[in-house]
Amino acid sequence: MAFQSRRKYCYFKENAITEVDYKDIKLLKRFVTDQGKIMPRRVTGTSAKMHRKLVRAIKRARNIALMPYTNVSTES
Amino acid sequence: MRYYESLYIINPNYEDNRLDETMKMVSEKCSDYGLKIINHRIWGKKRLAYSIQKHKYGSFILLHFECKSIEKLKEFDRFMILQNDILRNQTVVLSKKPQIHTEDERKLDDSSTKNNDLPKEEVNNKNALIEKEAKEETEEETKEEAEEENEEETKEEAKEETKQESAKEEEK
Repeated sequence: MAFQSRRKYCYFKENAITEVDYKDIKLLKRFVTDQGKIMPRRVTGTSAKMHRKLVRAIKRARNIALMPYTNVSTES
Repeated sequence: MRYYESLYIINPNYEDNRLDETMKMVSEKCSDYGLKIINHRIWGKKRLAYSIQKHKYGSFILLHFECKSIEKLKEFDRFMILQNDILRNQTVVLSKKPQIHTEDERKLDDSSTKNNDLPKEEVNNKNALIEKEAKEETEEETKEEAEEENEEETKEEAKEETKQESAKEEEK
């Protein structure tokens, strides 16, 4: 039995996105766990350049309360 | 000359008139500090990801402007922080000049992004599924073949054993 992992690809390269907007929460949510943590590059397969932009966008969205810092407080 | 985008949250309990008043106040302050307003519009009332000053919702307002000096920008930021009506504000530098907002453009943007995003994902998922299925099928086939071979071998062995046993009995 050989386990073959699914092919990883950069979402931004595939869809030809060059800039990440912090207001586009629908997109940002794809790269965040249920807890609200930013997923690592080795899991998502994002290119290094876009991952840096993505991280900045997520942190901006958190600051303006569009995204949670952590999901623990919102559940209670 | 740089372009900036400021997103700020106003108290959700404010009704239309008071919202407009605060927006007016902000735009007046902008002109006082020498900031050129490009867009100033209500982005909508949204649920906050975490409560700010015990508010669960907030009215988001988007402001695009042009500014020459950083000092003026700092003063503007200070002013925004000091306002009690404004729960939170964030100013970000833009790399390009923002487009002047109109209602029609916004609708078009929404529809185009939605249409572009979804189908590609589905296609990718489908492709992945098809590949998976194909792999599973091939694996199953190979398994079955292997099992058949094994069965044949076992049968032959059994035959040989029976032969040997019969030979022994004959000797006796």
